[in-house]
Formats: sequence, structure tokens, C-alpha cells
Amino acid sequence: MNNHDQAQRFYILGGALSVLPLLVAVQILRIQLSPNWIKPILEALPNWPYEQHEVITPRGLIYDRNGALLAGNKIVYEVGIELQYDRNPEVIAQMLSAMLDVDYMDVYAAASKEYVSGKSVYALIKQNVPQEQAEKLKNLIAQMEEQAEKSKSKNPPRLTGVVLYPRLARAYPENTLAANILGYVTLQGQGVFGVEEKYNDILAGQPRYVVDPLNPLNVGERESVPRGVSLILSIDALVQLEVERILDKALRQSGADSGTIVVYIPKTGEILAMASVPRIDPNRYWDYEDIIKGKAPFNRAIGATYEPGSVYKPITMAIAFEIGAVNLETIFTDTGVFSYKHNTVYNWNRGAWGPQSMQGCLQHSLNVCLAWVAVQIGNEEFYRGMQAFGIGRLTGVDLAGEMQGRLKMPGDSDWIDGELVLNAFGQGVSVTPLQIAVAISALANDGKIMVPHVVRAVIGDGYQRNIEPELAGMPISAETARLMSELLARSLEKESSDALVTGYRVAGKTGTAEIPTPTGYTSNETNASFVGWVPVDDPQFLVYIWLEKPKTSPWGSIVAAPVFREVVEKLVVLLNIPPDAIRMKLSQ
Amino acid sequence: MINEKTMEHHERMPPSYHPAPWRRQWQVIGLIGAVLVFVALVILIYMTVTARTASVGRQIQKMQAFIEAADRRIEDLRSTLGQLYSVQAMEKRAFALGYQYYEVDQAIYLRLPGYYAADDAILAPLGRVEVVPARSLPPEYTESVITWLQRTLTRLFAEIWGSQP
Repeated sequence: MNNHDQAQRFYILGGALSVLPLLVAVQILRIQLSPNWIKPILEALPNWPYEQHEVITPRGLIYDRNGALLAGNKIVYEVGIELQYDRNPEVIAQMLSAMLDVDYMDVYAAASKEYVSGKSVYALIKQNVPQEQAEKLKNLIAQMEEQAEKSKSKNPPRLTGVVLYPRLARAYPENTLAANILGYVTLQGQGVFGVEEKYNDILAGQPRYVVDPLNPLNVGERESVPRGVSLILSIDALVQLEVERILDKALRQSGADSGTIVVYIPKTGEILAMASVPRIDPNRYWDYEDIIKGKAPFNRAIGATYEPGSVYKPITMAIAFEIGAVNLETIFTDTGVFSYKHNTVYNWNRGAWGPQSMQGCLQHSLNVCLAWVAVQIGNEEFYRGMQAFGIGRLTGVDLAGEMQGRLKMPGDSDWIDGELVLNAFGQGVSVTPLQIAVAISALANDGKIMVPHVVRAVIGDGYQRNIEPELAGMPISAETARLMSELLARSLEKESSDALVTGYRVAGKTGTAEIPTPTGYTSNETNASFVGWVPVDDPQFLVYIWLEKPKTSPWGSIVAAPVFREVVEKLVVLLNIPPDAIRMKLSQ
Repeated sequence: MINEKTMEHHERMPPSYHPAPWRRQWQVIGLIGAVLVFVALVILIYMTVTARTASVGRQIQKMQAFIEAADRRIEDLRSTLGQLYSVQAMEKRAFALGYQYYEVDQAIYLRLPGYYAADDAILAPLGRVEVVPARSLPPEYTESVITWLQRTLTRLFAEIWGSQP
């Protein structure tokens, strides 16, 4: 071989070796210039030996304002039958129906199903099986399998094919506590009512699909899937517990059909407690229909609308003071009846109360006086004021299922001219308990209304973000608010109301509203209510109480006012609010 | 003297001997044996690596299953703990220990220097430090040729004429 031949061979080898990188370069360019070329490969991916499945991350936790767990997750099992195994339907049906409390025939039918590859491979028997029950079943399966191995019988009884898959289900450690606020989560992971529904998307997290290779050679690190966001509520579990107990007691004592208590912080818009009856145990949400009958709302505080009655009067009076329609010197002579356009108004006792100051009107809760005040305000200012207080509008609370209520406005087809004299004392207008609490809170917060909310912080990505209070509006000035607060405090004091609390100055108003029916207002059934706040000079919380159709007495001053006192007496202790005199002394 | 022609002729002469046939056979057998050993080595290495990879893959799958089970257990235990610390359970325990609620008229308020009431729950670091994601690779490594060309030309045009084409 001469040099020429050798060189030629090297050229051939070099050329052959160059082809491969050249092909690689061409392919790279081809992919770069036409990315669509890769699409068929990506589309074909699922058919490759990979398994794609949805990753269900733990649902975010819910805490109260002090960090007590209100909603967590627990392990439950799904029991089913893998149909590819050689099964014994009789044994499976007999054992599972006895252990899981399921119908024998249903299990037998499921266990007898024929296996069809890719179509009929699995039969579900029961979901949400508690851990203890699942452990017993696991032991039974193992025990029967062991006995079958030892048995000389040709077809020994065994539970081949029965499988248990662990899952996470919602758990509520406090059981019924704050159930109306929390809502519940179905087995499918869908939040229903309350916080669970309102924040379902972030609590549940984004569902992710993860591709797991079936070939162990291709297994790699799995993409981490973040869990759902956790929430810290403004609710205080201990306050909520006490408020629920007081409400339950009030219902027993008054014989009321149902009731609601809202404890609200006017300065921040935080809801400290919100009790509503009836309430379910969200751990057993399937009992819902047995407890909350018919179309009754899940949370009456936001889902039930009603005519509020006299607790509405402070709003009318506040508008009148704000626009200067009345002042502290204004005297109204009450003749016991007031007619305006198509409406005639009487006082609650049908009596005439003679000359009254505006404080007297509030103190004696005179419908006639308030009707006159509304006329002094005039249609335009009256309804504009009501809207500014948020009447007839959603409060925007972060709970699912809020109702709007109704404020008929001039121009509406069913509005009658002169209706404002009824609206003035809370008739002909429908509100939710939270709506009225939020509206009245303007009087306790220097005229400002904050957006009500139950979520005070969100925890996600390892960080806590606190939610700042948000101003919803300012329907009246701080001066009017303080004036109204003072008038209402004096009214209670002069009446020696049952709402008064020793050592603490409170402001508030009772309400007794007749219930509208298709044939007019009922006289024997009422909505009794009370709204008040404490301490008057620096309101820490506002309490709204609504008892529906009390039997012992129809009057708010008799059935609702003592409940307010009881709530305040409990809360000042739990919240460490000293009596006014001591507070003044300590602050010096 | 050997002239150039004689030299050339000598170079073109075939060798005057051949290796013994048995030697050739041994050479071929040896060569084939060497190839077989090489192939066997490659197969052995491949199979060892593959088996170890598969084994590690199975371990990873097991660990993933373990992590999932552990996560579920943690969630479950957290709820159990929540139940043990629930306000109703704590109240029962307090009563059992002889405690009772004090009424509003029983409260005595004192000024305690240095005492601060417990804050509301802070269960995670507050806020979030915003970290601007730093690019680990220059864009040339992640963009297509067309995007790169477009970007480069845009930049060039901007540099030359002070505006985009």
C-alpha cells in the first residue's frame, strides 16, 4: 500500500465520520426552523410507556385567628375490586356487605362484572371508609389469604381482587363549630357553601397532571406539586363556641324557630363570630337535608333576608342628622298616627307619645316619628342614603351564598310613592343580618363602613400574607356617627334596657318586626332583634342578634336584648376588655 | 551495485514464504475470540448499568409512594392534633383540672409592665421577598434560530439607525 492509497482511505473514513455530525446538525436546524415538526412526537407521548395521572394535593388548611385548626385533612379509603383477578363474588359480597354496611346485591353485581381490558377493569364498592374500618378489612384480607394458602380445599374462600386505596378527605376537628362559616367539602373535593366554596380554587390548588414512566429505567425526579393555600380566618374559635352556646340557649328559652348572632369588628370589618341555627356537622355533610330542611339557607346570617324592623331606625335617623333634616333641638309631636300618600303609620303600641326630641323618638322606638323624619329627608336623599349604607346591595363578604336583600327604589315597578315612611322603620325593605350589622357599624366606626370579611391571612408558598382592612364607604360623617352612638347609648340607659352591661357603656337598638305574608303583616309572629356595640367611646365589637318568631315574647327588648348582654359579658372577658373606668385609668 | 530498476523489481516481488496454516487459524480464532470477549464485555457493562438503573428507578418509585403515604399521614396527624387541641377538648381538659370560666364581675385588671398580649396567629413568615429570577442561560441557548435572528437584527438596526426596522 502506498501513501496515496493510505491517504485515500483516510479521506473515505473522514468523510464517513463527518456524515453523522452533519446529519445531527441538519436535524437541529430542521427542528429550530420548524418547531411544528416536533408536535407529532409530543402528541404521541401518551402512547409511550408512560402513565399520566392527576395529582391531588392536600387541600389547604383553615385556622382560626389564634391558629386553632378548623379544617384539616384525614386519611380515608376507597374500597374497590380489581376485575382482572380470579374472584369469588359470593365471598366478596358477603364479607364486604357485612364490614362496610353496603348492599349485598350491589357488591355481588360489582364483583361479578366481567373484565374487559381497557374498559371494565375496576368496580367501586365504597368511598370514604374510615381508617379503623379499612385496617380491619386489610387484616381480614390478609388473614383469609393466609388460611387459603394453608387450606387443602380446591377453592378456599379469599378476597382476591379487593383493593383499598388511601385518599385524603376533609376533616373538621371542631365538628359543628363554625360550620355555617366553613361550609363543607364533598368526596369529590368540591367546596360547598361558606369559606370552602368561596376559596375552593385556592384551597384545592391547581390540579396537576404528572407523567410517570412505567419503565423503571426512565424514572426520574417527579415534579413537585404545591399544596393548596391555607387560610387564617378572623373567627375566634372560643368566641364562636360561646356565641353558639348563647344562641342555642336563647332559642331554647324563647322558643324561636331559628336565630343568628353576628359579632363584627367595625374598625376592620373582621367577623369575629357568626352563629346560625340550624347547623350541620361538616364531617357528616350527607346529613344536610335532615338538618336544614327545604330551601332554608345554610348560613342565615348571610343567606336569609327579612324585614329588620326597628333596628333600622338608627340608619334613617343618621341620614336625617347628616343632611340636616333634623337636629338635637328638633321636636316632633307624636299624635300616634302619621299618614303620607298611600300609607298610614302607627306606633308599636298604637299610642300617642306627644312632643318628643329625636332621642325620645329613638328611645321609645316611635314609628310615627321616624316616618315623619323620613318625609323631612325626602325621597331622593333617603334612598341615596340607604344605598350609601349598603342596603339592597351585597356586602361583599368572602362567604359563598350571600343574598342581596331588596330595597325598592323610586322608579321600580313595585315601588309605591310614599313607601319611605314604611322603610324608615325597617318595613318594606329586606336585608340579611350581616347587611344590617355592617350598615349599623358605620355608627360605631366614625361613619366608615369596612368591607366585611372572614379571611384575615393567606398562607401560600411558605409565606403569610395578611389581608388589610378595606374601606367600603363613608355614608355619614364622624360627627354624625358619634352623635348617633351617644343618642343610642343614652336611650338604652334611660330605658334601663336589659342590654346594659355593668361597667361597660353600650349603644344599641332593639327591633321587633312583624312578618310580611301574602295577606299582610302577621301580628302574632315577629322577628326580634338587637344591635349594639361596646364600649361606646372606643367600639371593640358590634353584636347583632336576630331571633326568628320567638314564642315567649314577640318583643326584641325582652328576648333579644338580654342575649346581647350575655354575649357582651362573655366577650369582654374572653377578649380582655376591661370595664370603662379601669380602661380609662389604665390608659392614663 | 543494485540499480534503481533492480530495486523496483525487488519491491514488487511477492514474499517467498507464507505463515503456517495453523498459525493463521489461531490468528482468526484469536481475533474472533477477542471480538466476542469485547462484545460480551459491552453486553455485561450494559446489562449491569441497566439493571442498576432499573433497580434505582424502582427505589425512586417506592420512595415516591412512601413520600405520598407520609404526606397523607402528616395531614392526618395534623387533624388529629387539631382535634386534641380543639377548643371543646381543651375546655373539657381545663374543667377536669379544676379550672372554670370567670365571670365579668370577677375579673381583676392589673397593669403588668412588659406584658404584651399574644398576637394573632402568624403561622408562616410574613410577606414575601420578591426574588427577580436570574437567567442561568443566555437567550441564545433557549431560543430558536428565527427568534435569535429577529432579536439580533432588531438590536443591530436599533444601534445603527436608532430605531427598529
